[in-house]
Amino acid sequence: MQRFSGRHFVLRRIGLYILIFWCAITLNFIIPRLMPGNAASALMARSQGTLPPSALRALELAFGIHTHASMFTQYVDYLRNTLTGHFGISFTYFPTPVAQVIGSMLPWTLFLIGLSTVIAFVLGNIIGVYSAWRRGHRLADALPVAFTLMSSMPYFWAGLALLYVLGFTLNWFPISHAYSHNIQLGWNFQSLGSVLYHAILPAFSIVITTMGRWVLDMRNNLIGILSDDYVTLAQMKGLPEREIMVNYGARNALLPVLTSFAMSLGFVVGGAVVVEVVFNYPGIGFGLFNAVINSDYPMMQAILLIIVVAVLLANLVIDLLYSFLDRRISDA
Amino acid sequence: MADDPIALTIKQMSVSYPSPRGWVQAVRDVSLQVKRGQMVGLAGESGSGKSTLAMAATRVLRPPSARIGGSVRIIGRDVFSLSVRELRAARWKTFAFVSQSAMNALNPVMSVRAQMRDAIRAHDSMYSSGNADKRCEEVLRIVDVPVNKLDSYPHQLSGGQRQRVVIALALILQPQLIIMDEPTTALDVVAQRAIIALIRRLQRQLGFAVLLITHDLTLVLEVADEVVIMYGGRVMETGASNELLGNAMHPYSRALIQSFPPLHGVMTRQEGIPGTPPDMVNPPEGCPFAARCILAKEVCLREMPVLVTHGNRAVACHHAAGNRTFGGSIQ
Repeated sequence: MQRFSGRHFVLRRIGLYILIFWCAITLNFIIPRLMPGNAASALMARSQGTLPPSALRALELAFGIHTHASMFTQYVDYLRNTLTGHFGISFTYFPTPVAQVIGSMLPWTLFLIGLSTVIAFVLGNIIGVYSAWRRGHRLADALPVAFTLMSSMPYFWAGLALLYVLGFTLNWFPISHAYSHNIQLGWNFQSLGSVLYHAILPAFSIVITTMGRWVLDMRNNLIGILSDDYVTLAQMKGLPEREIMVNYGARNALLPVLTSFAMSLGFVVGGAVVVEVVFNYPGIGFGLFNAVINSDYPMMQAILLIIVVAVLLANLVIDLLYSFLDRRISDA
Repeated sequence: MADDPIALTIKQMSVSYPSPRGWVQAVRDVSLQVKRGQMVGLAGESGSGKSTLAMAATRVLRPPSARIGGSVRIIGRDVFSLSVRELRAARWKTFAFVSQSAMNALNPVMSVRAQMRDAIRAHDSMYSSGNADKRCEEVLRIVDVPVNKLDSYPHQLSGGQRQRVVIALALILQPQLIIMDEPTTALDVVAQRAIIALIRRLQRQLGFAVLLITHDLTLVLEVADEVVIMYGGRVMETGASNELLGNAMHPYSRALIQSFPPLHGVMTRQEGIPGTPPDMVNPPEGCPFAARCILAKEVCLREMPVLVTHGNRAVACHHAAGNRTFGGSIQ
């Protein structure tokens, strides 16, 4: 009976997320069409009269803009194109299809921002557990203060400072790009080394500025939980300290934190625009920045869609994870 | 050592908590004893220091969160001189605990089985998982909870079941002493009676000693062999429950007995005890109950009465020497 309710929960969740996804892509369809003009007329405006009016029709055809088709036909086309990954052609990288441009950016962002987010989360929680468990000790009480201070720096500022000191002045780290341009990228140690070397500074600036939040969340939750009766009982049972800390303390303290982790994981994809721009890193954030500057509508739309999908996926995964970590959720 | 006839001895225990206004003297000079196989009730209203005493005696409460004096022996071993390692080994195996609110005593994210098995594993790594499971089922059967609840999570159990599971958990390593802190507080009256009857039955069958902490004096008088009554951090009166029930010597014990409805017999109008417990940051110089006691005289306010033994009972009251002369009622 319990198994049944668990499976039921998963199906219900997945159904809910499909509904949300449909709402999101429909909004993504409606909003640009509520605005005056389209990609073709934007390009006409940018040409400042150098293009003849007849070029408008040509541009519309080239971009696949069907202003004459009915809203319904456009919507159906849009849905089909979205689901099959046809996002149109990028203006910035004309005539490369948006899907291809994003495909080349996404791995870099997933690697850099995704990894730094996970590292910050794991390290932050470990430090948070430590500082709650050993509270009263000098180091344990100093750590949260130090991390609060660091997380109050905006991360582009931390990035710029690191870039200036470690990259520019001391010349220890490269100051831009994802890998050296004099190597051929491939699955070998030289490429891997170069990629890691280039990722250190941006990753470090993200980790130190976002970790503080996890440290504080974990510490505060855990201190509250440590005074709960079941933790006292676990001590009475004579369990090893480590086991109490993990199974009784941290497992319960982690539950509320997971939701914010899901959100930040979702925003990995579009998240670190500023870091990618500061470090000239060829990821989605950098792409979004360029797309905005160049009024690259298909590109923006596709990136926003990808952010939506990422947020939804991350939330779905965490939701399902919850049902394993806390049975009260799937039973509700 | 192992055949020490005393399960728990608490000697001259004092416990104070730091507070912004100064040290709260929650427990002052309390001594008590629980013999093997005996059930001793520790009764008193909230704030009388009874839970603090239990927490300090088992070293759950420890400096710097409290200042603790006195000595404790459990099954012949001096609790305060055990190393952390020895203490951890003694816990649950020698003395177990049933905590105040069964509702929160179980970890919400672990199944009943997991919470029973970690206790077994922590003390006996040689236990095979098959044997551990067998033991888990056995203790659940002892407390009349269906065995299929082993894989349930706490939120899937009723309040009474949770309390029974907590008791089963305490039994799992066959301890010689179980300290029960208000084991029935969160339950309705019917479930309370069932749990108390269960504890009494198990205690007789399995022979462990129980220190039963409760605010319900009439209940404890009915089930416990001996009762210790605390007020304002001090022991007011101790004695066999059958003697105390009919013939309490301390005015506080009498007032406490009269403020609860009798479990059997005629219904009468209940009287409360007027006034409030003393401020434990600045406890009164004399008897802590003097301010609420209708018999209080000048000496009561000035001087703390000592706990005087009268045969197999003891009472701390200036009036107790001639207690049989002041009549049956203190109202």
